[in-house]
Amino acid sequence: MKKTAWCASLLGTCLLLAASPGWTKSKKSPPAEPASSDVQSEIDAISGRLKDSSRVPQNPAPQETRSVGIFKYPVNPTGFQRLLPDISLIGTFAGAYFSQEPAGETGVDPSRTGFNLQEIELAFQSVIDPYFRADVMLAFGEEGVELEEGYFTTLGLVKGLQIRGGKMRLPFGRQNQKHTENWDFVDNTLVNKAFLGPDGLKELGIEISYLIPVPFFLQLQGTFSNGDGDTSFGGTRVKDFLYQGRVTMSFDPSVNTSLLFGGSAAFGFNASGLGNQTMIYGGDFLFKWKPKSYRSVVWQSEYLFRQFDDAAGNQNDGGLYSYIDWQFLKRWHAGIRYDQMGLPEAIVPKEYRLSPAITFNPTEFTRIRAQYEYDKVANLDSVHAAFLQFEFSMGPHGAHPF
Amino acid sequence: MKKLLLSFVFSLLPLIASAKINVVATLPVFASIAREVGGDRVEVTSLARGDQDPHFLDAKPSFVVKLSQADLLIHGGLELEIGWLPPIVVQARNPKINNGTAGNVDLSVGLNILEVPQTPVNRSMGDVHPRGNPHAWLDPNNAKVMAVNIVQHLSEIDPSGKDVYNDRLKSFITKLNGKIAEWHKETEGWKGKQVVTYHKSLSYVAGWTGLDVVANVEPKPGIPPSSRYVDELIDKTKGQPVKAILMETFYPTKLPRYLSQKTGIPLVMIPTDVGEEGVSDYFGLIDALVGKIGSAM
Repeated sequence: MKKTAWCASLLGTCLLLAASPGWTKSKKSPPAEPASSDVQSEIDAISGRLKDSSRVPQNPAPQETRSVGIFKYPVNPTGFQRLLPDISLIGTFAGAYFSQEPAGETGVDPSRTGFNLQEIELAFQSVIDPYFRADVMLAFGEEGVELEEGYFTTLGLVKGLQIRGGKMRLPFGRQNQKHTENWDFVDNTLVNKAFLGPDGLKELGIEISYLIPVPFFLQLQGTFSNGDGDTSFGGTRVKDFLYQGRVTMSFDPSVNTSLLFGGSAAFGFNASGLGNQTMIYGGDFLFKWKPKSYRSVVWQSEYLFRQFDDAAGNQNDGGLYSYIDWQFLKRWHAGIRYDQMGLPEAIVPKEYRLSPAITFNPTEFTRIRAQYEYDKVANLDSVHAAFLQFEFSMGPHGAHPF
Repeated sequence: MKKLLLSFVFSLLPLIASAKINVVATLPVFASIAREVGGDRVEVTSLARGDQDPHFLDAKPSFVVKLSQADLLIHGGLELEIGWLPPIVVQARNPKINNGTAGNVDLSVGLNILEVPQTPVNRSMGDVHPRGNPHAWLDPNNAKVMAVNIVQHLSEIDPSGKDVYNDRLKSFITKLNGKIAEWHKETEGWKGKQVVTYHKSLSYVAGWTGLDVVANVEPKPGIPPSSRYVDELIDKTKGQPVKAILMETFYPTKLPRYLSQKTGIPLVMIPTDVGEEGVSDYFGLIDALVGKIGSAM
């Protein structure tokens, strides 16, 4: 079967070569304008070749095989092996120095002076059938493995509508949706850690989103999930679900710039007592200027406001971060981030942090990042920290999220 | 509830319906070919601009909007756009342009593709494309295949325009055949002439003109040269009959300029996509390319 298809494609190629004027080896006598029937036969030859190509791989390499015991398997993927999902692995390590060791849960952030494994993320990604794709990411830490994300996404619903289901980083703001390898700094932002948890707001649930058909980007997302996240949510009753939504708007003011505004809200129950509620609101803003392929400036900011019911009553907390990342050479980025908690101040104490960083990407598949941090919590001594992060990425070329 | 939602969705649909077939191409050169064969029946937009490196675009939300309204998506395949296209196709939530549908044209199908790795690849070789060199549109013979491919898909999603598309395809290929003969004449003397290129983007041009690309300024695909590597290149090319250093406008010029100064080999900036200064369509692109390189021969 395969052989016939091969021969057909070979024949098609020969026909094409014969039919293409000016490209054969006899350069000495350039042929005159071909008659229209010649053009038609040339088109037919190409059409035949296209038909064959959709079945047979182009320029297949000679079938090399490798033997393991009595089994022989081809080195180059063919047949069912082409259906393997994309498998990739990203490892993130950091050397750290703290003038005072951090306390409490740090998530993927460096947690001690010395060497830190931030995360090894193993991802399986594939389109499943004409209607669904699935993405599963496992996060390996020193203590074990956890499901970072694992969800399906619909592909063929009514235009504009999409449903995701499974465990996912909820679309609350920008930072919460980004995986460690896509952060522009070594560690998470203060406000995300304080309100959405050291590991981010990841829940088992379902998301319905709709891209509103207007001339600019306007997207509505609504999620309904278990609400087990233990920082701001995690009510003990079964009915303590988490309801969350986001609206994102984006447009390009000029060919080289993009603006994005987002608003998010989450409502659920916390673990401080039966029926105690938590409400978090967030606003985010992104400006990107990319005058050339390898030069860009990103300014991203986010403010989160939390109303948290506990024994002390209704407590109002707020915090923000704002950073600029400047790509000044193809492989170099410089960034500076400012974090502040206590706007207003309630459960989480006032805190300021300033983090300059410089990043070098030897290729798209490795990253070396140095970062200094000055951290001052109200009434405590200021803390100095320095990080040197290394990251590698194996497997298919992952796309860069915006 | 469900009915309400659906009626809401359907009430919005007519807002985006338009009479013309809405074609979105990743690169301006693909858009140009689509315009040639689609004529007045299609409205063609391109995501990238001609002066941008097609490997490094942002997956911008405004692209998502364009794709959400597309009837046909034309892309180069061969993982040229892999760093930015896949997520925006998913986000566009447009079942018309999903992979494997009539509205999704992979232009690499049926092409003569160069530099397909014959052994297992790894990234110590740089950012290699496991399915071969993606800059295939710089061979006019491949442009013919691309045009036929686009017409097949257009005819499938817009059957009433089939004859128009076929007629336009015929005149496009007739014109291209004429130009090919011209370009061949203009490049007759190029065979065996040595050049240095910045990226491996001229392999196809070398293929049909006989140019001999003796070195790349990038030590490996996608990896910018160090000054030590450029010094090695200077030693390697000094005294050799290298006619020109050819590079696209979006690459950094500092080290190539230094190489040019030290060796006396002229640095020639070349267009590889439609939309760069003075290049308005596919014919103009190859005209400009042949003209620019020809000036150094």
